[in-house]
Amino acid sequence: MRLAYIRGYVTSTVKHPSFAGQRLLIAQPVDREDKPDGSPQIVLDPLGTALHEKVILCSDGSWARDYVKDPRSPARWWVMGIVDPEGSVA
Amino acid sequence: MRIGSVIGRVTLSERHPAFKGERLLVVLPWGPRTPVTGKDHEYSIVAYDDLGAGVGQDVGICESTEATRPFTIPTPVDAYCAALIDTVFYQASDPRAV
Repeated sequence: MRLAYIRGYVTSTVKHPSFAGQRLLIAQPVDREDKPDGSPQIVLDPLGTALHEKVILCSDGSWARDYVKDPRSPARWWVMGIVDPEGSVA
Repeated sequence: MRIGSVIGRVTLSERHPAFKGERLLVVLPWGPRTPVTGKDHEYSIVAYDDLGAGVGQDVGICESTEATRPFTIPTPVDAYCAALIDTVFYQASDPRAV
């Protein structure tokens, strides 16, 4: 699992049928200093994440296939959790 | 799924028997700075395509073992073009951040 920021989204008409109706967000993984680290990933969003929220990405393809209800889906990365904003927890 | 820009195609006649009538794309995956600068891509990869992506287009590339999931017979693939991207919205940082 990786820490990342949601930085945008993509739209796509021609795609694998398992992605129909899904929000496809762009997540930028970060290192321990919050600096971008590695390629931005297109991720599934089961939680309804907002732009620029810090999240935990999970690469469990098995759960992603369950979520899109297609055992032949190539989906892999998805938003597993939304990190509390800094200063929001005592 | 990584975003990549298609820069070419590969054709070959000798290949694994699981491949039939496939298109193989040469794709430059985006790096962390690519959405802002338009360059600084990662190393190019070859991706399997059955959607019909063309040179110059941006695509979504599924990698690792999930790339083989769409196939009904065991197929040696580790990059699969899963989406032709129409538009990309990207903000490098939060404009509301102090």
